[in-house]
Amino acid sequence: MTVTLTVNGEPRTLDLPPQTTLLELLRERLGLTGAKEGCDDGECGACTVLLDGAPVNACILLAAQAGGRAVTTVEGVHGDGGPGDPHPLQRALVEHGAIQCGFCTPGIVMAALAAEPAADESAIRRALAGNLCRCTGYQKVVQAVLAWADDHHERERRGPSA
Amino acid sequence: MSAMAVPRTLAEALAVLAARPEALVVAGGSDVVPALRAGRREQPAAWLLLHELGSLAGIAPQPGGGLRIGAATTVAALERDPRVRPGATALADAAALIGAPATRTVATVGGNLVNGSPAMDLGAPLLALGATVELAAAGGTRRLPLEQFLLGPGRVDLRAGELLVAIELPPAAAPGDAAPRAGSAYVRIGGRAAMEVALAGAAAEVVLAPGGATIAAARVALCAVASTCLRAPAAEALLIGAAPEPAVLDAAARAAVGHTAAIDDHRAPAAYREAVVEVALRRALDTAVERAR
Amino acid sequence: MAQTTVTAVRPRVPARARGRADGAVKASGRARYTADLELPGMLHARLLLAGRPHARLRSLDVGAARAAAGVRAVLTQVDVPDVRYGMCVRDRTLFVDEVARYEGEIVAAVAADTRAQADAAVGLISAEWDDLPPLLDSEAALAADAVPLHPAWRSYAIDREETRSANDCAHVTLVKGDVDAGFASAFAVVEQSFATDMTHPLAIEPHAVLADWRDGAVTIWTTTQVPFLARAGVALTLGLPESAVRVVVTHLGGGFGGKCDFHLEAHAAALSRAAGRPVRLVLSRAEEFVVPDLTRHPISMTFSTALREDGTIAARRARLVLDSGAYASHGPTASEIATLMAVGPYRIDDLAIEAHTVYTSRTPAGSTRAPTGPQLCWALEQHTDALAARADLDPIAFRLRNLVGDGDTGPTGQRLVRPTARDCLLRAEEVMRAGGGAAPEPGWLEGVGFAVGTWGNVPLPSGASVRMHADGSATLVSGAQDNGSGAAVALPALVADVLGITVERVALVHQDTGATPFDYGSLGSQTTFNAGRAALAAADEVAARLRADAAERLGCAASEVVLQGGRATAGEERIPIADLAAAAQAAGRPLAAEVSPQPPERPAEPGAARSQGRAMYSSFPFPAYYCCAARVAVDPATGRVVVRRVVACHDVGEVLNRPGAEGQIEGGVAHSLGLALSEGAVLDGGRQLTTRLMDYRLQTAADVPPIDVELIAPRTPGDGPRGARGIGEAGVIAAAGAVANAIADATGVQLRQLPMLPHRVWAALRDAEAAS
Repeated sequence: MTVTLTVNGEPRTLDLPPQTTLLELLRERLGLTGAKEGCDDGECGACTVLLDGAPVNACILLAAQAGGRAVTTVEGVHGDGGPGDPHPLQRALVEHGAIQCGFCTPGIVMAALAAEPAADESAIRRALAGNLCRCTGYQKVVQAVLAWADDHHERERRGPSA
Repeated sequence: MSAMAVPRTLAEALAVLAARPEALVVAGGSDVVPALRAGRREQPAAWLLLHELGSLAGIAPQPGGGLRIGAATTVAALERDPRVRPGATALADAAALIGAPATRTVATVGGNLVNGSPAMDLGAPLLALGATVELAAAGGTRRLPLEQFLLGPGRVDLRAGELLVAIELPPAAAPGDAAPRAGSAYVRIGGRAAMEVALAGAAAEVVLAPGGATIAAARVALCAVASTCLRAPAAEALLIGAAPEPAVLDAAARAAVGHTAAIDDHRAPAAYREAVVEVALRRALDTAVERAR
Repeated sequence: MAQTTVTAVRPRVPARARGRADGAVKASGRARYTADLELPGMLHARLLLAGRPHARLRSLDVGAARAAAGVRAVLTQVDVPDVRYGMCVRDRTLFVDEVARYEGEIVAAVAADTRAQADAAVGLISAEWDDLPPLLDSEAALAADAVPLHPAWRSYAIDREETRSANDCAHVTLVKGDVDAGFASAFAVVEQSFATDMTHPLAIEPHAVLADWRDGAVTIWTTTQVPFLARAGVALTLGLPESAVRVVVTHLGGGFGGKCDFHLEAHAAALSRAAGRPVRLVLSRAEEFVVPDLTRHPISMTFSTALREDGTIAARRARLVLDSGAYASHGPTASEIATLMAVGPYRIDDLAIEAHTVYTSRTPAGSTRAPTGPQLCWALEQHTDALAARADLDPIAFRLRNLVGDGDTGPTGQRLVRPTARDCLLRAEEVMRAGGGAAPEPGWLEGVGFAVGTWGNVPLPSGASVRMHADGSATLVSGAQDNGSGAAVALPALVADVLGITVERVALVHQDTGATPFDYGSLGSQTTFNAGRAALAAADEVAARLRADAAERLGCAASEVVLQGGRATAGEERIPIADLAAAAQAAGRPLAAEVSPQPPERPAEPGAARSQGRAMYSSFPFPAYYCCAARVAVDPATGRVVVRRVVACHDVGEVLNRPGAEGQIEGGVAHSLGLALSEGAVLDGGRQLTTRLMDYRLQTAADVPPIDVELIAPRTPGDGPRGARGIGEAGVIAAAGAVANAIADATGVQLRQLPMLPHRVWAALRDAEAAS
């Protein structure tokens, strides 16, 4: 099975066994290990990536289903300074103490980026409900996402010149 | 090497199925891929992937009212589409409860039905909304009411070479009523706020007669209390023609329990399911009536 | 169903805006965990599991598997040394040795070029079994005529005095005063029984091991909380010197006790030796539930408590039965802790507590985060509310009357110095009562509950070295293992502070047995307490050298020298620390110190000899206290419980890192809410049915309510570094009990089985209604 897709902006064409999942494609074929395998069952969210901007569990999506689509992984998330410069959401997670073991963090980053732009706390909690975290109790995660969202909207409201 | 087809037209898809009726059909894959991964399902010799089949996804109003929902329409689309919330509110209720956002991005209404789980969240709302399924094969198309399609746990009336292509919802109306006042709701009982499998669930659609003093039409359906999602005609009979009053709704909810055949499993005992499905239905009826007013 | 109403979380400005040292690498996805590692020529390992709870292996044929495509090694028990291992009792072998005693026991391991080939080869192994009757009930297993699960139990080495019998691998007691006299003079006696289901530590990262054997030595990258204990396990089971085994942990994706033992390291190492290639083994989520021991013990508990007329507790008897599963693991230690938890933070003069640690045919239990803590606290604090009711006192007043105070003695005679149990309770009550929150939903019942407790800080040896380089930067080499909590990655801040340099200039080398001094690892909330002490001691030695060198140069007394801002200062005089470091290096006297300071001495326990079976936890040394308050809403029609708010009040001693301490408690509370309401394994005939995350249900972000963490001012400094105490475990203990008491406050009904699933709450309410 030949699959052509875009990963973090780069076009890729791969020849894969048909049962290959998107997560296997990313981790084993492209060496993008940011998305984690926590359950291989679509139940923990550690492998969350964006497919045309919408969150998916890469562990239960066939790689073939991503054919022709744009996939964004945590490796494709960064600040205005380019790769290596943390995205403001990533910065907020670090600064709020929202990261402990960090295994669920890449999935949380992707799920939060896909959340409704004007989300309030309750909406953020629902947006992250598929991303299990055993370490943090979610509180500092939610605080970080809220702080980032507030900041983000404040900047949007003031426009690009601000 | 097994064959993997990614058709772009329905005719192409049906031709693949005619040639390889054993092909594994993957819509969103959120049920079938985990089953393959865990070995609960054997690796197929042939695959039919529906994600490029644009004509199978989408929600369209029907001439004369009602909705036609493509089988590959995602749960996220059901949750968000502005035509679902007013016209088929129970379905939107259920869509918002399924899994998490990442599940809803890929899970489809057709996949949910064909998977045939007695605890599927979309089954009861679609039954309560009077859904018909459209099944296409290279040789022709047939339609049947959803209750005839759902046969048992993991079993649906899908013949070799057939593909579930659409679900049709009739307009919510009482006979002869030009401006019906209809409402529907789905209530799920579970232990968590999200990522939950229904311990029991119930959906109801209620159409009030002009003036709102009586119920002109009603459908009621239950989830996770029998071998399939199922209608509860005894409850419907008590509702139709009666006043939308607490005592009537109580009696209907109680009557619905007569249709259940719940089992004990690792999620909950049968006695619990049968008790709380009544509660779920009672609440769904309340909300449906409120929405109809 | 009503939606959980969530009030706004008050954003707090983080105390240290920069966040933890490994935060950025983790947020970016660049942090490598064990399963992310790959070596050239690496093979993939898969396991054949017994798949049955108790059976004798009649025949095992791996011939076809060995001959299969891509297969490089297939190992069974005959391929490894005939050695038994085990943390407290040496009762197990790497692979099934004639008899399988739980479904997840490893029969064989395969290494092949691809995972699919390894899977296929596992399917080619032919194992024939004679099923044996499984021991499914811990009480039945204790019966005199029960079949012993380990017929050779008498021959197993054990780490403590002999108190065992066939299926009871440790009978542990806690005795104080004269319990018969205490009951004889009682005004009232309350007896209650409780039971808990098996739960799982459930780190989101599954176990993974990458072993690379070459030239008689092996390097093992693994997901362990205890690198040195894992090293010892590999050395023991494969017959190697510890010097031939190097255990390295990259980032660890959580542990919670589930990675707190030697697990799969030897299997991967042996495969690598046999195949001559690196081998990686990663458990699937389903395997994660059944293979590694260290589930949380199911415990059945009976408390009988005698009250005096004045509402004080006179005496208590308790009988605890811990279901240890197929092997002892840390069970005997867990039983010690359980007997202490059965006393709780209460003043009780006359005690007779006993615990049995029972072999049954299921995945073994072990030292899951605060082993036995949540189970016992959940039961005991409901029992305490029942005692309060019997004494006609409200739960707060009853506790204030009975909680330990200054000079009281613990169960083994340990004298308690200004304990803060009452402070924690009063603060939790104040904060909970002050908080508003959403109005109750119609038809739902609301209630508030409290649970108080204590937990120890265990003094253990730990080593560290600090080296200052010629430019005044420094490297801390610590034995500490960070399970994700941040306790180890926070150690450089302590060193930087002592040396008067910025934390960015202190590198940390840790999680590598080839490089660091010994430490017990991430267990028992000990990292800050013990590794922190070692890091400070090593830094202190280097700082003393710096001060001495500076004093000589400045012509002052060393005691006058202050190390701060990269400079050694005395009065107006100052020297850059880098100059001192460069001079020391040039003089061949590098500024370096390696220490393994003596742990603080445990408090005297004059009464300890009356209790039996105790090896590690005769008491809670250096106790910490906490109180959790919960407000819940209960839907009486469905038994659904929604937690509206939690207040968690802890005495952690002096706070070294506020966001870090809060994060430990918040995470502990969420874990505890899972234990309270949604997490529980369901077994059928010794097999777990709940081996998917859709069925073994953690709390989600949408379930966990706002948590107020209150860190109270300690009345005595903690005995750890800078007056700190450990906090890794205490947070998980009390929330389940607080929720139980809140449910009872809302409904009038106590729950006797944990987790308090909707159908159990519903059944309890129905039964109570039928009885009234």
